[in-house]
Amino acid sequence: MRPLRRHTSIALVTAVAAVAAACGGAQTFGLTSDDNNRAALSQALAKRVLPAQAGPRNATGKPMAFVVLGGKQRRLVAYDLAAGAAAWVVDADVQSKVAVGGDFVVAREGGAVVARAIADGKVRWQAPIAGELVGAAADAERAYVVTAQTTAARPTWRLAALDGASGAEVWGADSPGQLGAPAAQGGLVMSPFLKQWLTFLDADTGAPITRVRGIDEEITFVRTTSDGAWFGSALGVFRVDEAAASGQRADATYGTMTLPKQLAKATWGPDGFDGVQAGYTAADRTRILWRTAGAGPADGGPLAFQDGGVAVHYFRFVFGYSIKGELQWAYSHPRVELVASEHVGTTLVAVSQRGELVALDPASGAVRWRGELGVEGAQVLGATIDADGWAPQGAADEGATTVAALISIARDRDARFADVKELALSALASLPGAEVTAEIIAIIQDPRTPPKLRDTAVEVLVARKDATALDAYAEALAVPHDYLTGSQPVAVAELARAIAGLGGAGIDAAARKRAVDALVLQLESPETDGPELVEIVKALAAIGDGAEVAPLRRMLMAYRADPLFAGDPKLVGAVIAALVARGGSGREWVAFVAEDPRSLDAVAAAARAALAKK
Amino acid sequence: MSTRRNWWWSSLLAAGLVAGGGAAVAQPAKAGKAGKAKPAANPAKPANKKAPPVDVAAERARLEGRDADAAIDAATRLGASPQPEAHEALLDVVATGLDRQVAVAALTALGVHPAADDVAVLAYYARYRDTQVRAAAVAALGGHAQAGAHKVIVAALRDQDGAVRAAAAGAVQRAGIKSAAEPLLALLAKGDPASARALAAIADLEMARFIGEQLGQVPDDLLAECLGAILARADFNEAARLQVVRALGKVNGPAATQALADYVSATPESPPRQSRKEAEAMVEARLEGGE
Repeated sequence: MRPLRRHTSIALVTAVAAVAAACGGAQTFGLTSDDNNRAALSQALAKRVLPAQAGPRNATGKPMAFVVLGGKQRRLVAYDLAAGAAAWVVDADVQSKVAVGGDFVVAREGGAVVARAIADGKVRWQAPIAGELVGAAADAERAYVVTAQTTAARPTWRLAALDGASGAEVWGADSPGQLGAPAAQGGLVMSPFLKQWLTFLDADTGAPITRVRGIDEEITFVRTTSDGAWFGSALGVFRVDEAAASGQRADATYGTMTLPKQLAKATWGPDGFDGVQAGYTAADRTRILWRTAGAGPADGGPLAFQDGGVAVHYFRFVFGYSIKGELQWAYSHPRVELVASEHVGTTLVAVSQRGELVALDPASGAVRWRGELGVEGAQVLGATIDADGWAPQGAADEGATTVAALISIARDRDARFADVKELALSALASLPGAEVTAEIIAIIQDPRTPPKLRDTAVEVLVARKDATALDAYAEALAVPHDYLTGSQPVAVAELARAIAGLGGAGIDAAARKRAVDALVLQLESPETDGPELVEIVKALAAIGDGAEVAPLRRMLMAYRADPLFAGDPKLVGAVIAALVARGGSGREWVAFVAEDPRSLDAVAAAARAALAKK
Repeated sequence: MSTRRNWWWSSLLAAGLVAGGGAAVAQPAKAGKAGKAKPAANPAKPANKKAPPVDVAAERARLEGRDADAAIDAATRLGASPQPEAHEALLDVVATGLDRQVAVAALTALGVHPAADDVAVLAYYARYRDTQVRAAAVAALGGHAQAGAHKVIVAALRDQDGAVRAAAAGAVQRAGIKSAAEPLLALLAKGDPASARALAAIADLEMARFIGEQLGQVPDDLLAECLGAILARADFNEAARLQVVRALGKVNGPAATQALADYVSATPESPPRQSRKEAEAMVEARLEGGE
């Protein structure tokens, strides 16, 4: 993939070189520039004005969510998170993500960029879009809009600054190469260019200041929070600081981590070059949510993530991971997907398809607050959350419920989330509690569980080595086949494997007896098949503590002349091995079978071979 | 070898797999009302002719040999012999493993002269992996009066295999196991053909009334077969028969008509009985109705 991307990039650069040569003269976006100039970047950052404290971008200072609703007539809702109520709802054919400015929001509506007043949602101005909207950003005074005209013989992109009050173009810059969705912050505009550069411009004039060239990673997105700016790609995230001028991961303030393969779709930010992602899409439901702890090192180095890790929003679920990739917590949203999410520093805020809002503790996943959009028949397409620093007040703490969340995820009926269910099951392996084991057993026994997930559940069960769950295993195995009631044991082999995994250590004597009785019930049940019998024999050998000898001797003697038994070398081997391993009378009976002429040859040979082993 | 066998079944007893099977002395088969001994109606039992003595050692050797036909023949001979040592030899060999075909013959042969010591071994084979072996073991248990044997038979009514359930139903019928009523009623409701006659064999007046009330819950032909078999029992009085005839009268289909006709044929005209009179009228009405 990398070589292909490199070739693509080279091709684009070549094309741009040709166009730039044709245009001639200085321009904002071109191939030749003073890249990765630390002093120039330092100068640009010095110009930037960051808020004194964390807070929303909008001028009201209220934590807000701007929510787009689908339906015959799309609607835009401004929801005041602190008040727990919608501030306004307007009909608006919103076709892009909503960008939040000072006292206005801006989004594509139909064929125009439309600005609405944050106070009441009324249209303030609209500006026609020439071509397609690639992305928009806003600051206190202006909206910054990137459009693309790609149908012409010579495709062009344009970054334009529009006055937040009137919509008049303040400045604009054409680009012969692809521009990504911009970001704006405190007097700077940051514009990704050809996935290779991040261009810094003066927000007032559009004058280019400097740019960073990504040397060992693409630049596909740029993002701002009230405490900084960030850019990056699918691989990780760079802080916009002086060290970013290096353009290299090793020398910049750079953060990344390896997520489980089941969450591979999750990204550090939307792909600003993908026109589709200019709107709210499914990509917004698979997002890595992160903030940093403090300002970080001045001279680059690993980015220190807040709370020592990141959260991953994955459709209905949110997982907290440590930087080492260990699962810290999990949250499962009931029934419907979360369509938008944002790490606002103090909490993780998310909005569901049905208009439910939830705030989670980033460190524990505990629910800090819940809200409802309060709009009848809400079908949420997406949302922009502008709530930096918001800490819900007076909200009930539902507490961390990671085990319950993981179980809920693993048992979820939605067939789309097989990978996530596997992930949840795997995470359960390390969590203690007999109730966890009981839930995993239920997953294994549920006929609706997909085979792959069932296999994972079995592996997890075996890996748990939960001796306290022996009674749960026994109970699950103590179900007879019954033609009249239709009852039958489920997952006999799997449960037996889990029991065998316990070994003999630390098992309560009474629980051992109940488990042995249940295993013998299945051992001597005519419906138990060969592979199940093998696992049962192994389990009996593992935990029997001598109690396995009598039933295994009975089996060996009753079946030693039966071709069906003799034709199952795994079963014969398991029975004989168990008896020989126990020694004493068990071994004597194997010796008898080895020599007695009534034993079928395969059985006798297996017995002799086992006895010959030291 | 008997030491091995003894250990074998003692381990079963210790495991609680055979309740009440600890009697060391062979018990004569008992069925029917308590204290009223009755010869076991075992289909495997030979005619009342006295069997000639067998060479137990020789037959045992044949039974233990690799020639299946000879082994089956030896099992039959040992089983038929009234000599206790013949039965002992048979039990020894069964207890220590046989080819499936031979096991079926040997288990059947064990049922010819039931002995208390058989129960533990038969109980184990009643859960054998092969259907025919299971059916043979369950059938052989029908000759035993011990509660442990009955428990195994009743459990076999829940077997997944119809042949085994049929063998268990036959054993219930043979041993008159009242505790089999509930599973047999459930089998009747599921349309299991083996259940009707077994249920009829153990039904008392109250159960007969209950069976009669199962119209619509049980396939008509099976209900008719069951009620017809109850009518054929000599131990039901006239009041009970009348009740059964009236229940049969509500059952549609040729099986019910046939059961009523069979009752009319089997019951003498004199002395006159209301049950016969009503049955006859029902049959005539059905025949006139074109059934």
